[in-house]
Amino acid sequence: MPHSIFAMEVCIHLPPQSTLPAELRMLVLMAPKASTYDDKFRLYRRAADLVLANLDNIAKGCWDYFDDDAKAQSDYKMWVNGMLTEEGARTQPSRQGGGDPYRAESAGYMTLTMAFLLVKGTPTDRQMAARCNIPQGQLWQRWVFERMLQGVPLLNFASVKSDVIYVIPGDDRWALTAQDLAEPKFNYLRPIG
Amino acid sequence: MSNSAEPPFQRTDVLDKPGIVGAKWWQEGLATHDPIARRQALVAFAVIGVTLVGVGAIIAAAASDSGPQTTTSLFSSLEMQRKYGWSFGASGEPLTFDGQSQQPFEKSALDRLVVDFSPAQSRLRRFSSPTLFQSPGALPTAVAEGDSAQAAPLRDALRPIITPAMDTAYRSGKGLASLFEGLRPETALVVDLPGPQTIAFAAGLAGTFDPCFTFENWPHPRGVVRAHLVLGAAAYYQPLFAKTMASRKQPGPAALVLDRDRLAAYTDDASQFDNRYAAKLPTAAALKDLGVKNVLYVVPTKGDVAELDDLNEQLVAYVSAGLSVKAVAVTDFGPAAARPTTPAVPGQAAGDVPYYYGSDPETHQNFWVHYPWNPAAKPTSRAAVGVSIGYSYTPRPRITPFSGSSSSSSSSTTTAAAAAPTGFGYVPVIVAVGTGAILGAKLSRSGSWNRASSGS
Repeated sequence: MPHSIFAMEVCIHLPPQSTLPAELRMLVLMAPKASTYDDKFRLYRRAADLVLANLDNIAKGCWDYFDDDAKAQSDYKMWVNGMLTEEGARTQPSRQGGGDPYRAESAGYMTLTMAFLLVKGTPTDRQMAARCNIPQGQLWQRWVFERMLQGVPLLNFASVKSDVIYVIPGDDRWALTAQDLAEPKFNYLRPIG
Repeated sequence: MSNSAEPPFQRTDVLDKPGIVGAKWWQEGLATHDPIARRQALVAFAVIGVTLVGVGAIIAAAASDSGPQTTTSLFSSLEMQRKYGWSFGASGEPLTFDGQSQQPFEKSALDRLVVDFSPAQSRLRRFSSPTLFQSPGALPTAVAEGDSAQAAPLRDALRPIITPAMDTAYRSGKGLASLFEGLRPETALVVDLPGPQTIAFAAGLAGTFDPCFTFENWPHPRGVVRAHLVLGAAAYYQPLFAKTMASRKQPGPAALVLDRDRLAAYTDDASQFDNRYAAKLPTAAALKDLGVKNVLYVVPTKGDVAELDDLNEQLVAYVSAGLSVKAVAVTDFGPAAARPTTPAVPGQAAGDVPYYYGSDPETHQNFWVHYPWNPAAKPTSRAAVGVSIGYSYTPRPRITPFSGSSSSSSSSTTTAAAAAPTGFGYVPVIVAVGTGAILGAKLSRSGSWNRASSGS
């Protein structure tokens, strides 16, 4: 069974008192351990909707689609390792709790990562391939991320072999900072035009 | 392979730490049902020879391999319609319209429904949904096997409608709106009437209130919700909405317009298409940000003064947040006695047959006695009789099929929808095992899965 991969990560600048990270975390943690196609649809539909509602706040991001089986499998493993090794997460809080969040300069940044190992050649795979057919010069434009996010709920999970979703941070006090994002390990995230 | 009770995805990793939260799932079934692997296994069995029982089992499996092995899964009705067309599984079946209008109708105007039925105020657009109004011109991106041909655009099947009930609703809407003319936008309406009447009532409001339509479904020939009638009513009143758009006061009060038939009951998903949905309303915080202090829930009759199930939690939350929530019935408004009635015409004021609170000009301003939200009102001595007791209505917490803590019920910062019961707004779809290809709607009469037994 050959595979393809669709993955995306968005880095969102959080306004003070944003509930977005908490909503996304809740969504991930409340998703059933044993999930039906319906559960999957609801999880990713809601996640995509939440991010689309914050589209203007996406500061950086990246997305991939590959239909080479070997690359799809190795890249999917890489995206999963991003979660398992906690590579992008902070090792200590970036700020203290309390205070007046409206006086804070910012609530920092968060990332949402979603990756799907697809069955190559299925209608879902072909649909995603068509959706990801973007001219080179426009890969990192905001409308492209909107298009990708709109495509996530259209996935037919009968054709998805594995999926991973993760949110950084897991606690608002551990939000990423601009300094964090300037580190080389985040170079794969492109500024969104 | 079947609709077994075992969900196909199993979570293999989960992380819940201050730095990161995440989870990974794996669908084992895709690997075990690889059609190529299964075919190779069958060949191997045949070569080495097996017992008679084993041969029988192999033949059965091979027979099912000769056609597609299928399973049934539930998919979002709306997503299936967006992909395969508004009449998914029932292509070519007609829509039926009640009360078709005889007025000239320009079909191309339907392409402007999304624009004409948007709130005039940009601050209200986040509470409005274009979903239903997108349907007339939408074209599918794929053809399901069960549909004989690609569906024609819905636009070609739509007709404007006008009924006596719509006319009454329109005049009642104008009557209610007249009470709020010139007032600060501190009262938001939640209009919850059957589809065509809700459009008509909103048309009556549109000179004063800024309607935010919340229809989250598409019509279907076998739809549980007859959403095509909502569009038919919208087509009839479209010129009026377009005309009032520019003249609406800014900032003006909001009217959240719901289709009361969105929760319609049904029993047979083999013949009906579940295009129901739960209403989505602004959160209390979002309403307060708009300066709203009062919420008036509009129902059809005095016997309907209770919120529908999917609104309970949200209306209770409004009360908890300090908003004043009351109800009013369309039938609380009516013409003065012995006045002639003529059908209302879009774009033309219904001033010749105005509707009043209590069906009497003398009791009209006494609306403010029952709903004390206008300190400048000058009530008269005549009491309104025969009106509903919506003024004493207060939503109370209760258990409904929409109660619960499902993730889909968690509120965003501006709107919240109740958690829908399992399968609500979903349609059974036939899926090919192994490839995951969607073959069509289970209700389709022409799909091959209905002509031969499948391996599922």
